Amino acid sequence: MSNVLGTVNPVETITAMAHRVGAAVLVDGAQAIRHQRWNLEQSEIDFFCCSGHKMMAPTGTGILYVRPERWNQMEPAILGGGMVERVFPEYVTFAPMPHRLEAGTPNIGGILALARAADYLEELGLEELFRYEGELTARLENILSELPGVHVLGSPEERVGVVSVTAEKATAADLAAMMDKYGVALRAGSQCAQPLLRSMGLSGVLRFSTAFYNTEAELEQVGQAMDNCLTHLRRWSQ
Amino acid sequence: MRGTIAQEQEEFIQAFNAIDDWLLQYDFLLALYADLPLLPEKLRTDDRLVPGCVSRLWLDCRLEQGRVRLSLAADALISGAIAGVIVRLLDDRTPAEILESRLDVLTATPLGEELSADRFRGMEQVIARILAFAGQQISSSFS
Repeated sequence: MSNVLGTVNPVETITAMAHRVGAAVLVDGAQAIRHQRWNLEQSEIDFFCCSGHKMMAPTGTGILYVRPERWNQMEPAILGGGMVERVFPEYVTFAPMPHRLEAGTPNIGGILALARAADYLEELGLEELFRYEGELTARLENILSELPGVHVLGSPEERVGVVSVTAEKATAADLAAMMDKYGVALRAGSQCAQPLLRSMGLSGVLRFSTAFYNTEAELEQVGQAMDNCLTHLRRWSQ
Repeated sequence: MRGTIAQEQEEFIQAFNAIDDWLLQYDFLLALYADLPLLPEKLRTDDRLVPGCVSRLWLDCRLEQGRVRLSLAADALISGAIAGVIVRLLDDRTPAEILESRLDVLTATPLGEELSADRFRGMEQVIARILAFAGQQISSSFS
C-alpha cells in the first residue's frame, strides 16, 4: 500500500510475476499492516516487514517475517551476543533462525508492548476497524476534493488509510503549520517517497491519515479548518 | 536613526508577544514578509539554497560598502516570514555588528514553537550562513 496515495497494490500478482523471473519479494507492510489482514503462511511473499509504531506500538519496534524456505539464506548483518552457536578463533557457527538475526540484548519492553498492541487491535475487531476506517477515508477524500483549488492525488481502485493533496497558492508546509494550530496533525513534504513525487512533478504534498479513533464530525472540522487556512494563506500569497 | 540589532530584536519580541491570537501573529509576521524585497527569481540558485529546510529557502549574502546586505526567498510563506525576521534584523549591518549580535528571537517568542525540528534546524542554518559570511568578511579584511 502506498504511503502517499493509499493505493492498495496487487501484492500476490506482483509476487507471482517476480517469482517467474527468479526474484525474491520483500513487502514493506508498514502502512498496510493496519489496514488489512495478512496471512503470510498462505502467501507466496518471501519477506514481509512492518514497523510497530504504525500499529499503536512503541517506536523502535518492528517485525520481519522470513518465509521458512528462505531461512537458510539469511546471513546476520549485525554480530553480537545470543546469535552465535560456537565461536573459534578461525570461525563461528550461528544460532538457528531467528536468533541469528537478533544480536545483542533485545528491546524486551518494546517487543512486549508490540505484542500487546497487536492483541489490542485484535480485541477491537480488525475487520470492523478496516470497515470503519475505509468509510472515514472515503468521506475525507470527498471533503478535501470539494475544497476549491485542492487536488487529491491519485484515483486508485482501492484507497485505504491516507489521502494526499496539493493546493493552489498554498504550500504543504504552510498548511501543515496552520492546521497544527487547529489541532490537526498532518505530514507535509516528500513523505519519504521522492521518486514517486518526482514522477508526478511534485516536491511536497500534504498527507491526511484516518484512524479508528477519528469521527466523521472531526473530518468536517478538518474540512472547515482547511478552508480557513487556504483563505488566509491565499490572501498573503497574492 | 536605526536602532541596534539588540534594540530592534527587543522591539519585535515585545510587539509579537503582545499579540494573543495565533492567527493575528501569523498576519503580523506575513505582513512584515510582504514588505520585504525578495530575492529575484534568477538568483534563486542551488548555491543559495539553505540546507535543512523542509521547503526551499534561498538566501543571498553580499557586501556593499562595508555592510552586509541580505535577500531571501522561500517556497513556503511561514518559513520565509520567520527567516524574514532574521534577515530584517541583520540586513544592512556591518560584519562586526552581526558577529557581536545575540539572536534570541526564535526562543523569546512562540516562533520557535511554530517550527518543526526540521524547520528549526533550517532557521539555525540561515543564522549560521549569515554569521559565516560576516566572519569571512572580517577574515578577508585582515588578509
